[in-house]
Amino acid sequence: MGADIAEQLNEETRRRYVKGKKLGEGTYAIVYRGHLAADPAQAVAIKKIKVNADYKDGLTMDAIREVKFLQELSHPNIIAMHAVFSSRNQNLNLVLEFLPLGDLEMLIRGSDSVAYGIADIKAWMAMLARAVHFCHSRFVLHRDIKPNNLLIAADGTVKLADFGLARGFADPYSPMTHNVITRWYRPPELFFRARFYSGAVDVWSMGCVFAELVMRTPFMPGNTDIDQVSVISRAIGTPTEDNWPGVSSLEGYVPVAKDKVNPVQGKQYYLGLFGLVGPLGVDLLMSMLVLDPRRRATTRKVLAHDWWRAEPKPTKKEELPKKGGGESRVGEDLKRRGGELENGRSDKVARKLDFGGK
Amino acid sequence: MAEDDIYRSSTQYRLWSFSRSALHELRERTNHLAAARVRAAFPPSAPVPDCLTPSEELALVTYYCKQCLSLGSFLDFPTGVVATATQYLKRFYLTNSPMTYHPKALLPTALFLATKTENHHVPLRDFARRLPRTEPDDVLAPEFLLTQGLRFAFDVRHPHRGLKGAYLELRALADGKGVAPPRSARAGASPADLQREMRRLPPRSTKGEAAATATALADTDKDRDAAPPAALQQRLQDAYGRANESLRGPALLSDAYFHFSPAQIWLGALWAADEPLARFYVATKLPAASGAAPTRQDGGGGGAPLASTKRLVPALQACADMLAAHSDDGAGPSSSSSSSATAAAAAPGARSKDDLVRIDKKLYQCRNPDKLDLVGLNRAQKRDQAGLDGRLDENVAKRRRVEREKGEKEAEEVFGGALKGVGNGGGGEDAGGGEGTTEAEKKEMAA
Repeated sequence: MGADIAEQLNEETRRRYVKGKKLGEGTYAIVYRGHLAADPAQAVAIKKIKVNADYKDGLTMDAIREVKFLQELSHPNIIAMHAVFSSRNQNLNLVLEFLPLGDLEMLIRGSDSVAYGIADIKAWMAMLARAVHFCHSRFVLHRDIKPNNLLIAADGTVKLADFGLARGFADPYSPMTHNVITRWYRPPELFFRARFYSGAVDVWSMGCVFAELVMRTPFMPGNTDIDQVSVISRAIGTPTEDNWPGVSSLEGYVPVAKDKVNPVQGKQYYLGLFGLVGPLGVDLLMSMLVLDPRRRATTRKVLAHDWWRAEPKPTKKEELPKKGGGESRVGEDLKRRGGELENGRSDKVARKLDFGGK
Repeated sequence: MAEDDIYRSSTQYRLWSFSRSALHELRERTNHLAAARVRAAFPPSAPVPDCLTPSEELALVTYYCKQCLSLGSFLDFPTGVVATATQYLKRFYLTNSPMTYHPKALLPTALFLATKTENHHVPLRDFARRLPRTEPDDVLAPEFLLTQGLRFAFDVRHPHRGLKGAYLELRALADGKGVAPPRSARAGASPADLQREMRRLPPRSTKGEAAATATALADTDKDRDAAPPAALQQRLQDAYGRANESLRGPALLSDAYFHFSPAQIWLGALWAADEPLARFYVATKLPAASGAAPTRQDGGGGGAPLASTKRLVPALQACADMLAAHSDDGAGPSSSSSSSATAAAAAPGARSKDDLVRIDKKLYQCRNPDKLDLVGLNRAQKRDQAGLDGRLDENVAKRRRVEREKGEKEAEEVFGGALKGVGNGGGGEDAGGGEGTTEAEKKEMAA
């Protein structure tokens, strides 16, 4: 007896792939290696979303967001989702591009350190900027940009992954949660509980990634949300009405005594820390880390910056330094859920924090 | 045409856009398959059930989409949530039949899933509490089935925002603050020119005069009196109101989303609401279609008018007709009586109450007995998983499933396919206090 067409379509999709060995398992998903049934040379990663017994509202928001946005976004610098199918027992299986070379975090902090230079940073940042611009031009915010969500393809291409916290932002008066983006990469307006925001939140995270690529250590690693605000104040400057008109009207803003205010750092300070990328590179970095989100660079502005055209030219992707992250790393990267930092480090799930406000 | 490229990359275009014949065939196939399954599920000794026809199925789905609109407004959900939920239902029933899954069971699920996909998440318990005779399990049981029927594409692109944008632009034009971009049919016209032209637009036609409007528009202004500013503002508001109503009703109930892009739908709605106004608006955006009077700027080096304009007008007309055909369908604005005749003939979903009652009764006789208890089925599937943690060996699960199916089949044969009670006693799926959604998220969704 023939199944419903819906079931038939699902079966067709499912049969197109062969699931291989398990690469990793997290609380949220299990990741398998897989390949096209018709061509075993075509590798894929199959991310099986676990049924979350604790979540009583059915399909989880992470899964819905990830599937919703990856279905719509197709770009060379965004992880490709080839298909979705359900296996027996109501498991959602995402067939993703196989990205065997780990993520940007491994390159930044690998113990057997990979050597890289400005031209490499420029190439990686350019790919990130294109990916984020593509999302924003389609009115999608990623809301969890950080080095370990930037995966690396076999040919060196950087791919933005993990859309579990993504959200459309085309409707201007629709409030959004401030409880997104992994803490070290989260912009000040979200700590002040801004409910209306834009692509500027992702640009801040890009700035943090940029800084981290140069320093090879996280630029602003706060221990708690409160601490993060002081870390930002020290590193960049204390947000005040002077450098950010309107900031004091944000719900979570806490006024700072005049004598405790750190002035916004000037170019000299940044040149001291990030001189490696040259004055133009520093200029770009500063434009991404402006406290006032309205004056922060947009992705369009970022892409139009002169730094990209200045010497040295960005490295060709085939020539970028690589590190064999290997298959286990694929599992590690894909099994995470949004807002999660890797084991041991604080801030397990960013959006689970509650400010106790109304 | 970057906008078009973006739309063409969407799942709405790739997976959910059809020609009329393809859509028709798909519904036929779904109906035939489901009917065959129903017949097979009934024992040979029983009389052959009289199955629903594709058009009866469509009428039923349309009816439940309408119910979805009412439920959505009762629950005070935003337009986007309700609109998405209706499209989920319409999409789901392209490849599933009401004989297999009753739309009444899928309706709350579609609405609930839409709250999650449209950033308006309401906790399940609260949601179920506000519905009559609905337990959380009833809402969740078909959720996975629904997502599969949606081919795991949750994004639905709506025309509402586009219409709002056009309204704002038209208001600016009426205020003498609008411009027409280069290459459009009105390129080069000053804001004052555009305002003057707008005030002299022929009045909105009622049905039957439509053909006359087009020619009237060609030699416009001269002898017509300019409408006073207040009258023009009122006209815009009325047109916007009517178009908006048709986006909230007829556009969602008809097959418009399957055949037209969101931009075509809102332009079609504007077209139906006030054709001269819509024509004027198009002229401020696109090159003149050949045949229409060329404007000063366009006459010379502008080159051939874009084929797109030529193709656009018939598409808008077709879309406007489709919306009009559904406008008597309860949820839409009450339209002029002259169009009712066409509406009844053309709207496949529009059926009299009596007819719907008849169809529903008929459905009661031909529902697939295997799929009656969705909560039970869902539980059975989850039980297979019950070695949870995914640790259950694939083979074991398969064997269990085969055994269960075999058992069910035997039961059918022996007991004549009685409605089986999958109740199985062991309800308790109540896992203890999970984390669920954070407060912040709830606030986001609720806000």
